[in-house]
Amino acid sequence: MYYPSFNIGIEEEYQVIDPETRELLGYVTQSMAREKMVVNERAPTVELGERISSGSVAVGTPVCVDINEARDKLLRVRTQMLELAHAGGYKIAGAGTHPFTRWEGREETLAQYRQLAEDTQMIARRLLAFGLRIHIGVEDRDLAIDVMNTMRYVLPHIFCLSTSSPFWHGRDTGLKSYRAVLMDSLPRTGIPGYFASYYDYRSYVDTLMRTNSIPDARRIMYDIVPHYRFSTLVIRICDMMPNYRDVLAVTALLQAAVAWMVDLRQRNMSFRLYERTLIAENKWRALRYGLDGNLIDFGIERSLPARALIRELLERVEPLSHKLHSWHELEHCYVMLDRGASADQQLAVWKATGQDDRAVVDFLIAETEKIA
Amino acid sequence: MSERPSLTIGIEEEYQIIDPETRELRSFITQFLEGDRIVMVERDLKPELHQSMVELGTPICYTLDQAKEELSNQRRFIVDLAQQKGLAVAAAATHPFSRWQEQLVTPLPRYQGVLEEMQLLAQRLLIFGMHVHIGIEDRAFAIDTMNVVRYMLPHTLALSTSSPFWQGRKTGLKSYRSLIFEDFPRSGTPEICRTVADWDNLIGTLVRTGCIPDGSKIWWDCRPHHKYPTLEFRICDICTRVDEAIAIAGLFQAIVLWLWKLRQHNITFRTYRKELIDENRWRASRYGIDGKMIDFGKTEELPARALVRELLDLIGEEIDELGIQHHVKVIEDVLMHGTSADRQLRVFDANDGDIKAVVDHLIAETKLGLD
Repeated sequence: MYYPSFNIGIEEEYQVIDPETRELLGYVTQSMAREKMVVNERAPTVELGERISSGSVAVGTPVCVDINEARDKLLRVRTQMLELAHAGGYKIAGAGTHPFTRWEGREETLAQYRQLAEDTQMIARRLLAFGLRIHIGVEDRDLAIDVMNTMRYVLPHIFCLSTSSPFWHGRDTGLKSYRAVLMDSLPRTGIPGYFASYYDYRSYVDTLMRTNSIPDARRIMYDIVPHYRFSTLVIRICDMMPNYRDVLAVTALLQAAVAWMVDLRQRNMSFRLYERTLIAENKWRALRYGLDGNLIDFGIERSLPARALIRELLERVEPLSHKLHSWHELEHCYVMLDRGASADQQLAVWKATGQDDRAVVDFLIAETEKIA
Repeated sequence: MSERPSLTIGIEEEYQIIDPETRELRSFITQFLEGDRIVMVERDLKPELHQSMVELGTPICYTLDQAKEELSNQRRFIVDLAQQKGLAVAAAATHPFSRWQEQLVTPLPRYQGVLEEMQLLAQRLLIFGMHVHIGIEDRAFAIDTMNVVRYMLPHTLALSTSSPFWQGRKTGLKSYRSLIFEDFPRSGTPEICRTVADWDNLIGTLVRTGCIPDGSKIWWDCRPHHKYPTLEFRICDICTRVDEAIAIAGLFQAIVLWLWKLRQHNITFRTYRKELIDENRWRASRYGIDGKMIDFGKTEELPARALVRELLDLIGEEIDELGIQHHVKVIEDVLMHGTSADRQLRVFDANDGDIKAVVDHLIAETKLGLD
């Protein structure tokens, strides 16, 4: 059987912030498909946009062989982003939503979004929801579908660690990831259904293309899907996180989990397949309560603390992580479990400052600026 | 094979209570609450999460004629009751401009519980639907029917669309309600359940793991009811006009009869993946009957109107057998003149964007044919 590369790609989305008002001015996404940064801005960040599109930020090769290379590349990109932003008098923050900025309402933009054949970056601009997209190289297409089916189960667990969008339009939403609600209101999002084979998946995509529902497979944006062009699985369930160590830890965890699924398969075993309806319950709990809630262990049919189930997952994937030389990054997940996800930290700052939205933005900026 | 299902009909509607001066939604239900009980009302008035919403359901009806009479009585009742308090009633799936941020939540423990669980998502759920129950006594057939009718749900949604506005703005959609509801877990197009055991397992697992207390918390577009021997169709926006609600209920009744007859011949309509049906669901909420929908048998896009007419042809024999032609023919009027959403948009444009005129129009249409 073909052995996957487990190559890594990380696509981050950064918020560009006005240091005075702390309002969101624009945002930057990295798109590996185009191998360049894409800036979408409102008014004053045009300058930043020009500098990025003129090539002063190098994203480098899209694919990293392991977490160590990914770390180098990620730090290089973040350093350059910060330098550019600071030179223009802006700040950079990473989080699933901006705590209070309102652009267009979600209401009027959804309809427009559906009709236009834009690429996936448009959603972020329209909905102001910022995600982290992780690519893991699984070259054999049928194996990729098999891994996609089984990986669905662990996505809510890993997502808990990334939650970073408790606020929306200046309001405490009561959720840990409001971004997930925004994203899942778009078509072809959320936990995917089961596909029997790559052929099965392709025939789904082809049917949509033949019936003019989508122009191409890029419009399929489930929480995990095979990339439309690269031989990777794209995992987009996670919120964008401010702290780069959190990003690397979650990336390493996703990579190790994929390796675990492949390892099981090579031993003629498989993680059990559960219905989407059941997995969606865990996703709901993850976006509502984050690390503080319970998730369901469907094997033993018990509701258990999310932290306990994530610890169990970490133990299961640890041997795989050692083989992938990623444990020094993955281990940081334990720190996150003790400390809380970014959403928990943001809520703590907000409460400690008498519900000061701007203090939350300052916190996000400070976390994002912590590099190397 | 089991006997023919009874095909009884029950219709639940969720109404908006309106202040006729400001045309805003107005809290209402608390006037009838004493402790946690509704008092001084002779009907089973069901409170909802928001104080400005009330739900009423017809008794079990054995014919569509009877259902029309009961639904008309029910609407007359709520209109009168509101009028006694100086208020009005509108049947539309969203209020054109009232804001969810300003609505009061009904002070009953179960709604405080929903609010606690769903947070901001519950507050946003200021939407109004119609639920049609069709009596199917054999559970195996009910599950079988649920799988198959998923295909026709978007077509009926298209006919019922009545929520083009949200918070004072044109959304560009015909049924904005269907998108709001999708933010809730366990909503949208049902998954395929192969057998009764499959369904029971799913509910059992969710109950055992503390996700839900019972099957009433599965908010799919269609579901076997957790208590009654009915299949409940929840996909539709509430229809503004009674005759349209009845026509759609008749459509559901005839579809179930049609599927039961097919089954006698060992034939079933094809079942398609949820992902594919969702494409049509989106098109229905976006364009109503003005768009194209996909015929997945032919893998071809066709005008929604043509596909609805095709469906009417498919079940024509059953419509005749049930003797409901005179009710169902209203669908032809909808296809020609538009749904409630289309009419609301026309009123909005004809009055130079006066959204209060839309509310007045809704109040008037809600009462149409009641006297």
